[in-house]
Amino acid sequence: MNQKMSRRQPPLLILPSLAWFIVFLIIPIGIVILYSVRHKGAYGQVDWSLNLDNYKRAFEPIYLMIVARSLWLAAYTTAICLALSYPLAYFMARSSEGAKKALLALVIIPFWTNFVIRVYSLKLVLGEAGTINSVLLKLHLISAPLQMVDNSFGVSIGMVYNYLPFMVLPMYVALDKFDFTLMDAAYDLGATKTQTIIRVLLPLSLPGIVTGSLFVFIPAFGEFVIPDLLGGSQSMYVGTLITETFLKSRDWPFGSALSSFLVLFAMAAFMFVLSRQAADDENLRRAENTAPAPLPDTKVALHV
Amino acid sequence: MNDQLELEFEHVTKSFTGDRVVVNNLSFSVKKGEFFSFLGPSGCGKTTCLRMISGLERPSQGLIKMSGKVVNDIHPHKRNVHTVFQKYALFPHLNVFENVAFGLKMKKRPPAEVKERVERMLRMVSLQDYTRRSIQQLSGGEQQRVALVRALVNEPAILLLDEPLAALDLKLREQMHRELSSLQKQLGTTFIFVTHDQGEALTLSDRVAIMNAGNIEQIGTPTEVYEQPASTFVARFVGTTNVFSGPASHATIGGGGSGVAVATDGFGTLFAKQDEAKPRPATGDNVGLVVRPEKIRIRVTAPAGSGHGGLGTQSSTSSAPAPASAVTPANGASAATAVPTDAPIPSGHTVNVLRGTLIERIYFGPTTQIKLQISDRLPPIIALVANQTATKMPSLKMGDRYYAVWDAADSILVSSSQPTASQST
Ligand SMILES: Nc1ncnc2c1ncn2[C@@H]1O[C@H](COP(=O)(O)OP(=O)(O)O)[C@@H](O)[C@H]1O
Ligand SMILES: [Mg+2]
Repeated sequence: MNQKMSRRQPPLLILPSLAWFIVFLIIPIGIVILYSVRHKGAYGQVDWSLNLDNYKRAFEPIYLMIVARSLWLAAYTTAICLALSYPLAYFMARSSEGAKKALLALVIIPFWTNFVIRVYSLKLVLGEAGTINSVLLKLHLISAPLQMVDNSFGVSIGMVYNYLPFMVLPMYVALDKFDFTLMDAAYDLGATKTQTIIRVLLPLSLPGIVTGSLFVFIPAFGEFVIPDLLGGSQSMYVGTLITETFLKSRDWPFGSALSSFLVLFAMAAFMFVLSRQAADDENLRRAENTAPAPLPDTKVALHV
Repeated sequence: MNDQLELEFEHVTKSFTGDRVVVNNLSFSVKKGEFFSFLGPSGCGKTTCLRMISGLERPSQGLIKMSGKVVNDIHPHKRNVHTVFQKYALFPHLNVFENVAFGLKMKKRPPAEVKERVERMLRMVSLQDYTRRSIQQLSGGEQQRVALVRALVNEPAILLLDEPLAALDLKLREQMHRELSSLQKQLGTTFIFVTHDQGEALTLSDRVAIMNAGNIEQIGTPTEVYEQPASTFVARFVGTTNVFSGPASHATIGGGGSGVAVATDGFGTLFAKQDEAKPRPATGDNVGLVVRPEKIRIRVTAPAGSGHGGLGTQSSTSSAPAPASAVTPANGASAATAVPTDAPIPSGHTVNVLRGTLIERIYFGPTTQIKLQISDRLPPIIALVANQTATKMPSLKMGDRYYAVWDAADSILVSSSQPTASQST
């Protein structure tokens, strides 16, 4: 009874978060969209006449190149995080309760340091006079310092280092709920280790894999601090492009158009995942609605 | 002879990290086509035994043989052994058909054969209309059946069942007992069944191994473990029972044969007939004396004549030989269904007599279980009386004092094991 009422009428308690959502999400996105259909005037001011040129401009080859580079960065960051996180999350989920807590703390502790400081400290570790290079030089393993920052290598290290926890945590949550006797059951039924992983472990931890991948892929696509600090001046990514358009070129309308695309992209990715989940739910509901078979009469059945 | 053996354990020991021994030096064998059960309290190592048979655990010491071959190093997926897991462990992302087909698909059987065999098995347990259902939509009993045929469809040489019925309600459990028995006879598969429910073990099994803290206390047919328990632990675990213990000494008892007198703590000296097939305990050995509730007669007046043990009257032995009155319980019956004896004890037999206050009376239908408190600091004596005879004698009143009387020939002598379990049903 109560549940029915609350379903029809949202309770007052959600009002604060609804207000938050409107003030800090819907309105800013609305403003961005409003700006994106204007134009930069001759003196850098915003020309308020309606026009869609900014969206057309975003499809010029030079910008498409940047989008492609960002997609590639997000893709391999996600892939590397996935490959590193899965074994780690599996190990965590199979550890004793005490070890679980300790490992979880180790994953989370880096978050207590400011993001920019964390990234900048990587520069100290990886730089020409950094820890790694000086150790390798002292050991005479290399004769000249390795170039590990101010290039795409530095960017990938920084990206993986920063986004790993976003992958580990949802995956750990999924694997922690996983019933490992199902793997025993698979071995018992004649499955090899590989077959067990592919047929049982992966499908049942898929929600964790999908969530973790979204958590990494979407912010990685728009990332601008890490390429800025560790990538040197050579390569431009979508995130850097947007910041520079806003702050250096002072072209707010074009920056807004680019931002709108980014928001659109994030929404599309979420929609895709949500719709797949909805399809799964729908399948389940349809299966539930099929008329239940009559209760089996085992006495008869055993003599077939 | 040896090729009749499906499974052999030779001095198998298992310990996990640390030196706690979970399974201790087990040796036993299971014949082909046998219904063999492990019976024991929770945590005694039953699941660990099954996991060593299926290959999911490796013994720390000792050999496991199947059809005469050592299998210690054979991986689970290469053993022809399948398991019905304690909580079924059905794959939640697969439907009923896919669950049952899993094993055959892993063995890369052709799809037509998979379909044919899976559907035949599902028909056998009346789940043929459930193929497309997801596991979450099945009741406990249906899930149990799916788990059963998921293992059986692979035609294992040995089927392991780990407390498969523990989660089902009583009625369903009884139905599954019949189903399991007839499936096992029909297929001729060796079943190794684990349970902590003694009634279940006794009704289903050809032989039962009673486990206690990693050891097997006794292996035998249900009748053997009930009627000739090897230890006080077995006697307590299998059926309701009265257990006394104390140092043994030789005695002559009426009714022929030699006997043993047990000087119990608080119950006086109780007599038992010495089973000629068993070694006689040395004088002074600590032994257990067991008497089943259905062997005890309840009397209002002290029995006259012959020799007595216990506290009821002073004893004096006369020896008028008479055949022992052996009223045995129905085959493998647990105490609640055993037939209580009320035939008069043959004259000349030595009897044990205890006197106490009636403190509990539980009506079971055909029988009534009563408890007599002998003294405040001792556990009460449990007796089972048939209700027809109960009506013949003055009805038993709470708080009144009665005599508990039993034939010394009905006392069972057992080795005295550590008091790990309390009096149990
Ligand atoms: N993988 C394991 N690691 C450590 N101890 C275990 C493990 N598996 C079982 N045990 C211990 O072994 C004992 C027997 O367990 P188990 O065989 O499951 O008993 P049962 O099935 O008779 O209830 C228990 O005390 C349990 O804690
Ligand atoms: Mg168990």
